[in-house]
Amino acid sequence: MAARRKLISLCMIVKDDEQGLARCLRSVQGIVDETIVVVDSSSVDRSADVARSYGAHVIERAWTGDFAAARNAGLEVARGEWILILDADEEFSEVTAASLRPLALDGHSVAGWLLPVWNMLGTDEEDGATINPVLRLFRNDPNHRFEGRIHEQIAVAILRANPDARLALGEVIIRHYGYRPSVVAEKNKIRRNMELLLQAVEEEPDNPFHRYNLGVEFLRAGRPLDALLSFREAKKTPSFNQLSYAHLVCKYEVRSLHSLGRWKEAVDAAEEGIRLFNDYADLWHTLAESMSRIGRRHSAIMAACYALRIGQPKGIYHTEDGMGSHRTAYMLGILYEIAGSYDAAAHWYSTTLTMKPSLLPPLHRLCRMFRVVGRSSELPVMIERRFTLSTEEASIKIASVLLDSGCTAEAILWLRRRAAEPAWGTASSSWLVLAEASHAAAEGHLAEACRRAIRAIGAVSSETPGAVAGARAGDGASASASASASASARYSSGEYGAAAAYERLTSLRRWLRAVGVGSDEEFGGVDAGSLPLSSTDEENGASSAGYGLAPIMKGAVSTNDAGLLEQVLKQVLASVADGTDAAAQSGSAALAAYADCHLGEAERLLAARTASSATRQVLRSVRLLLAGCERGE
Amino acid sequence: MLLGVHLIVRNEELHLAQCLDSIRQWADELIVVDTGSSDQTVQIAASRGAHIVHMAWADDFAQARNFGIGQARTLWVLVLDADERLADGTDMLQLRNKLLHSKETAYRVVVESTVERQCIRHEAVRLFRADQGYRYVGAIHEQLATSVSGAWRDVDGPLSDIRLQHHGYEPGELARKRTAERNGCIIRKLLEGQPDNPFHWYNLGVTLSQQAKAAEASAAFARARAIVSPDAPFRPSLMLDSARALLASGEEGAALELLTNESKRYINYADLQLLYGECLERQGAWLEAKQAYTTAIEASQVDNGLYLTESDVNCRACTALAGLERRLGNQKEAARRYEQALLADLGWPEALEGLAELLHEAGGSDSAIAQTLVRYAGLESKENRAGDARAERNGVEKLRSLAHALTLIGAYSSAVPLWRQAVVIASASASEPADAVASFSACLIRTGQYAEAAEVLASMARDMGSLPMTAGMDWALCSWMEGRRLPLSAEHLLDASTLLLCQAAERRLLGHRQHAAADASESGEAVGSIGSEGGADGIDGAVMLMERAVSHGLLRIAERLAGSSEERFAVSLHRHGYTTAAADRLLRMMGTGHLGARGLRTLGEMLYGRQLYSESLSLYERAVQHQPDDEHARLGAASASIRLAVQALTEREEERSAAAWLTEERKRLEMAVIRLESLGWRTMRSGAQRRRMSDGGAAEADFLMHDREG
Repeated sequence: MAARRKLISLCMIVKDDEQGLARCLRSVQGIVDETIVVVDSSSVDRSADVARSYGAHVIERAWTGDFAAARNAGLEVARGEWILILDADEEFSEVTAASLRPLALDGHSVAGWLLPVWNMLGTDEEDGATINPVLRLFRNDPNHRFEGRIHEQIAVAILRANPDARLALGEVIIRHYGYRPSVVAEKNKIRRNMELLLQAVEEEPDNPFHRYNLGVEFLRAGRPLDALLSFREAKKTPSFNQLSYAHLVCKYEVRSLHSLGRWKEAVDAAEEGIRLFNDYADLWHTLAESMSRIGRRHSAIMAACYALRIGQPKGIYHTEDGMGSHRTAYMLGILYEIAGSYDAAAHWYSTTLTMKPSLLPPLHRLCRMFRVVGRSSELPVMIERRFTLSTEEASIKIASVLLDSGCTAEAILWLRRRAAEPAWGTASSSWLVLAEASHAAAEGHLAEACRRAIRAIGAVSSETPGAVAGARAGDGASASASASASASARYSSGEYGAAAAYERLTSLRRWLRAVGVGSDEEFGGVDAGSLPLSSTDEENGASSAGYGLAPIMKGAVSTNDAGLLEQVLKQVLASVADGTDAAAQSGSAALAAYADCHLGEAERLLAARTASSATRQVLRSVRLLLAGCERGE
Repeated sequence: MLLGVHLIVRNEELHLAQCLDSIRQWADELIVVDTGSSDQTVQIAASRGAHIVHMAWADDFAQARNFGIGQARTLWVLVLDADERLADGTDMLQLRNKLLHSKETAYRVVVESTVERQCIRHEAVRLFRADQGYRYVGAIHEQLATSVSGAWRDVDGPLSDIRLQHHGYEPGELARKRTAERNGCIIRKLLEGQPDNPFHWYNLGVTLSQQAKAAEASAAFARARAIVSPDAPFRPSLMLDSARALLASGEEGAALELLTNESKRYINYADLQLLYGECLERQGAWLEAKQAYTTAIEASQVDNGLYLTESDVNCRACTALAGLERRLGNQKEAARRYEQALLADLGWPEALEGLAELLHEAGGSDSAIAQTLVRYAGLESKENRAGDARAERNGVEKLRSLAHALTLIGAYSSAVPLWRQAVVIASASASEPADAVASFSACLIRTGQYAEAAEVLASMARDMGSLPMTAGMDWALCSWMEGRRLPLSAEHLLDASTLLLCQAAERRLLGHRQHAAADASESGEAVGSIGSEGGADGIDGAVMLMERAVSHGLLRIAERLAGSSEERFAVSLHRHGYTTAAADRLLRMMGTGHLGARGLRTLGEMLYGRQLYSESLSLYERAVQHQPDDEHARLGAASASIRLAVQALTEREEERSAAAWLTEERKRLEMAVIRLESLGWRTMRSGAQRRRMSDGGAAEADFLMHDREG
């Protein structure tokens, strides 16, 4: 072991974060050659034990209020050729971790590698992240020591040791969870940082780096005015635009102004920043945001287009996931939607989806927008043309969005067109039944909707008698245990599985009965809750508990039956007030659907009377709002 | 010699003396080009020591100007029009000194024009060196130009301190001189030669607008728009005037489209943004209108000299924005904007009215409100006013605005003395404007002073030779309330249809039945018809009188006028604030199954107002079933359902949890319902009506509740 050449030493400092530490050390197993963990001696949890259990060399050390000193204590004992720096709230992404060693092996002429740190805003990448390239892998050299009490830096020392040292960009992604609001609050990190920074600013009032960091902390602490002042102070530095983080000062200044609602100034600040960093998409994106808020929609659209043309910033720019790509495209869609240019909006929503297929909001918006403007029939073909769908789940996901957006006919059409494809399965046919029943309800054929639901549910319960609570006599004996098990597996495949469709059907049927459609006899012995629900699906069951209210409401309006409508309203209100969260949401959506029926009719009446375009635009925007599309204002 | 003043004139005896007197002590030479006056113009000019040259008029202003300039013996030339004069406070001595040492060759001056109450300010190059070879070009709206290698270029220079006041646009004068028509002739002649000149088409549109020929003006502006270059300096004004012409000819959609496009281009053109906002507001796009007003206010605060702008645009935009904020429920912001408007322009009528409503809504007492309003009304003390006819007229206007604002909120006892005071001061000068009289007489009627109200209306009728329809109906109502029949003089002071209507109503009140058809029990269709025609006119007429009576609180007479139009009567009671009485009647009718769509909708609105959204919703739903194309009922139904959702969500928030999605959902729905309010499906209440709703009007309506079906 001793003879083995040590290539990479991981150096960490940690205080009271045993969980984070474990996650981090797990992620570097087999990648680094030794691990040195400097543990704050005031730590009260098992951080040191955890470190030892992963074979780390642990140094316990009293906290001196100086991050650089703590880090350097670790560097002193490191024997690897390269030093890797990670924090306990970080980990390597599995996908890219393997390419770390090649960086150390191949980087003959390189003194240090900047690695992209993704500051995660949620638990996974879909919640968004900010991306910041930071110098984290550098040659082990006695001259390479950290400087700076908070926000300690190494680059300065490396460049001092060798002014020609080459720093390069690596591709290994480090995930950083420390900025997730909940975690931040938990650790009182903000307050601690702020105290240190205020002290630093006092000692070195002319140092723009402290001002910048202080501004960031203020912004995170929800004190935008203080943040703004800090950033503006930082900008006063001579040769400000030479600073490596100057582009961030500009962006965060605009952000502070956004938080303060000073949109006009935000436009000016963004424009000023763009004069310095013309190729920084984040600034163009924030400029577009600012402009749309002061009603300069046209200019906003131009700015957003420019951000897209630049694309996601590369190199030394600190950026956020989606700037100059999917987030900008989504904003552009919203801007066009507000402007009433629905084709352009549709284009940008689908572009967003092409850029980031896992995002659901743009798809929702697309469907709701087309329903409100009376063009939902175009959706199936449009989606087909724009996306290549390989899995059954992806196809059902779209059907589900169509149903939630009130496009029942289109959901049917969409699913029927999938029937000839290889990805068609049991789940798809269940969803088709659901779509047909929902559509019947929305059209006012409540009895038919009821019949369809009962037939489908009945079929399932007879197939899987083992899972049916009050199993009917005779059926139970003939069914084998294995058949029951395989059926259960088939019906419980997650959010877009067959089971999910049956839960919605049950919910629809339950609401139909609640408003007096279908006699109890028709329901036979099949009672609510008798569906094949595996334990993991219970949550899904709860989330679909409100399903059906909106289509039933729509149907009730179209039948012109005052008594029925009253019944439906009663149920809806009860579910908003006393139902589960999901039921309450559906109830609220049902009331919105009722309003939408009348508003749609009012819009039609106004159009027939050649009334003003602005009035119709107002009606449209209210309907979009009711459909769940924020105006973005 | 340093400075010469140059004019071209024809028949300017009314203004010329004033013009020359304002400037002549500073001019070393006065040169007046006369193009054929037949009045005292030449004598007036001569008496002021002017050098007069005669020239035949050739439909060309530039030619005449250049002829005058050719006569100059001074270093500098200042060009004036006869209907302009030097504004007080211009320091001409300093200006002369400046000119002595100036290295410039031309200066701009400020010209302020007064149109009705509004002041328009623009800048023009009027002061220039006589030795530079500058010449005027352009037969109308002549421009000073210099010849650069054979082509004419406009001359420009810095702004001087000279301010001129211009009276030429006052409508009375406009008609007298027929300037517009004369200009029209010139322009048409020019267009024959240059049909592709956008500026000529623009000017033609302007003169047509001045002659109130909106449709023709629109057509001329459209021609100009089609060929104007994007950077033409008059393009912004062209767009604004185009939009106004379109609005005047009823093409609101086209106007809005134009304004939507141009407001993006001319963000800093306050007047254009204001008009855009007004258009949007009328169509219910309140959020967008708010944005436009805010832009207008911001633009009006920077004078960039790029646009022809009216000086009160800031005040008007503030008032408009305040009105929106008030209706959106942002009382504080509304108050701030009203104050901003009134500080910019003391006594601005619309702002005063709005502020009065705002204060009344907030529960202020009449006397406190009156006190606050007086502070903002801009009334001057009598001493300052005495003797100056203009100040006097101005003072009366301010007094009337104040009285009108108080009348609107039903503070009659505070308003009546102010009205009387205004009448006393104004009696010497011109006759009262019709709307002031109407407001005054309403005040009197509502305080039971029918005889005096009748007298005020009669004297207006005599002054004007006729009465507007509403004033005529008021007059009739006053007579009846006094227990008299329509006065004989009504026969020639009321127009034919008003007279017919009032006479028919009078016969009804006297107990004459015209036709069996008038009896409701016999005929369902001609319900409530009075007058021998029995047609649509008759119904509408009777309803109008009834409506008018209800608005004044004359409910007994209104009930008799309504006859068997019970539902309409109830709806009218609701509209004017007698909600309790209205609800009582409507519910009774609903009980017997006699309520139509209109009544159902009204009842729905009442319940909505009392936050009984479920009940409101089912009434609206029934109204829609009665009459599927009633968009007001549909908007009501939608609003009620959203309110229901908001209510239920709020309850849930309070009782169960305060989850983020709940608050978000509620806010989204609240935003939607506020946006719907802007579409005007709910009755807007004035202060006077709010009084009746709370209980001030209950006494008047009491009998409707108790001695029914006697």
